[in-house]
Amino acid sequence: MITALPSIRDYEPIVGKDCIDELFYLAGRIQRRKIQHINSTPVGGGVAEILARMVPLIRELDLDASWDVIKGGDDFFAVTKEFHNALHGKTQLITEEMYDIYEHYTNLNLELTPLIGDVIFVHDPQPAGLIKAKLRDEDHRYWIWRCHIDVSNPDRQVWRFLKKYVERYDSAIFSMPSFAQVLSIPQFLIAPSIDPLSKKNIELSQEEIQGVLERFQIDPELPIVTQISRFDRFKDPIGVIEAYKIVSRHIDCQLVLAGGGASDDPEGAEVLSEVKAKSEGDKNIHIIELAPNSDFEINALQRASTVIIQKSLKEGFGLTVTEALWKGKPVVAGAAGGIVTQIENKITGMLVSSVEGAAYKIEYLLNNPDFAEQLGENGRQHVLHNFLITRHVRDHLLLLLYLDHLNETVVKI
Amino acid sequence: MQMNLGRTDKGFQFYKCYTIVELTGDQARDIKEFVEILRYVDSASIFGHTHRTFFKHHFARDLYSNDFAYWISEVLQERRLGERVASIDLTRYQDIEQLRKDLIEIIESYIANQVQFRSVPRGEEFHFTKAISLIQPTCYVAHSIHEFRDCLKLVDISSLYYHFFEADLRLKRPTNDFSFWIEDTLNGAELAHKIQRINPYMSTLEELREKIVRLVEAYLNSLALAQFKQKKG
Repeated sequence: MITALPSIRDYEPIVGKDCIDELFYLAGRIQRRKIQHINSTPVGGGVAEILARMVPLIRELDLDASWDVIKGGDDFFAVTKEFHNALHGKTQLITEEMYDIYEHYTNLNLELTPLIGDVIFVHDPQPAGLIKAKLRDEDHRYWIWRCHIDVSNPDRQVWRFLKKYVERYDSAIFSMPSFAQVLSIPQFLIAPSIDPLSKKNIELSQEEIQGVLERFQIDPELPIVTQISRFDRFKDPIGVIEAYKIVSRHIDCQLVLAGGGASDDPEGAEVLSEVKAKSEGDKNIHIIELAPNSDFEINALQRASTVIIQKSLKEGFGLTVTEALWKGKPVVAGAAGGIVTQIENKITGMLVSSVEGAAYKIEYLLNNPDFAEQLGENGRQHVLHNFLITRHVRDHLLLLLYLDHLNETVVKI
Repeated sequence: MQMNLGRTDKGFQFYKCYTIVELTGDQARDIKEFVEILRYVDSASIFGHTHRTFFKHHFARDLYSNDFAYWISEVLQERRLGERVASIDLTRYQDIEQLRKDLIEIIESYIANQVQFRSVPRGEEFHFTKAISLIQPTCYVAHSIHEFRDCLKLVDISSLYYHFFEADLRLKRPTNDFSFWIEDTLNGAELAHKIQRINPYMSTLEELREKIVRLVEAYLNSLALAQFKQKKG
């Protein structure tokens, strides 16, 4: 699950020695030292990606961190997928049988999962039912439900079902203020993060970038406008092509639309074929279907870009925007979800709400490289201070320190 | 009495400050909902929304000094009200409850003169959060005004935030921590007042640091010059 990861001290050249020293200081102050994370999958998906980095880093801080994964059959994951969609606000038919399947696997996992932490972080809805153990064991463990998904507009029936578990936790964590719910337990905000030393974000040599451009037959001499995202209607790839077509009336440039999700998703395949049809006949539009684990290619494409676009109509936090900002690129992005937390219009990027707006902002940036550079630098600084994994680890440590001071607003540690 | 330029036993301990954000679950879609929540929301929420902008960007000054003004102006598009909320002089307050009272009064008087009210679409509501500060002593302790200046150049900017904003407003001290120590321990009333007169809401934290360092250095230079003249004369 975890291979040759960078050490916590490897982050010093990026975030500074003080930042790493302070993580050790904070970790040293924590009383509840056994920290357990529980989620539903060891690989794939954002949560597993975060835990694969965060757990080893926390261990390096001399805390006893562990990570366990619940078990479930296809029927369980089919049900939780439906729950996931319903919590995202999609209308789903949820039957009593589905709730029974969820309960069945919850009870099974209560037997199978060792609950060893002084503090137990349970991630997302799939394992949320493990909280039943809190009553069963009458323990003094501290239980935190960590919600990574957008539950701002959930299907009420599914949320009611989940809420009865969530409110038994000692507190909850959400990624955005808008995801918060009215709950009887304290709720905290912890934004997600990217790892600057991961394959997707680590510095690349010019040769490496060049190699990827050659492989995808992209001209390094012509400005490159790139959107990296799944072929999904909410990412508006058709709108991106339309914006590019407006821009290319005045400026010679290339559009790169790169993403996955078309092979295992019927809707993705449909969107991809629409995108291909829309771009037909224009040799400067590069449609790239990325295989899973194309982190290196994504990194190179982002670094080769002149402008990065993320014209989302609906978005979770939008970590692809974080990645682009981290690479110091000027970003034009839809004012949706967590993108507005990352992009302050005209300071750390450009926010747009229409095809025409996107086209105008792209053209403006291509014509004003100094401004584009300043925007990119501001964006990188914003990510450096707010959205790197070291900040994420720090937030977890601070929360662990705060657990013994709930209801205080100024706490000496 | 002249300011003590030598070492003192009562050193100034610089603290570093971390913020964690608690979500209240309260959200407003229009100005009436907004003011109703403002009446009961925890004072830590009002403090957070009027000060957190200092941590948003380390490199740029925000056009709006507080989250409330930003949302009212830019999202709710009640620009006249937004301008009034943005222009509240936060340096006048030593008590969040007074700030709450004044904010409510400004909004209520606006509501009283309006017939129609805008409301925002789903996803653009104002979400009330609470700012919780965790403070930690740093290795920087100043025992003289010279050490104070040197430490000030080195401390994390969150130290400035804590000693200037938290001390003044949230902890209800009559002045910022720096001015208090300089006046109380070093008998430096003049310098203390000069620092207290800075409007910190008009600067980034880095600029605030520079301003204080410049004031201390200018003050020390003027004292040195006066001593030199005295000796010469």
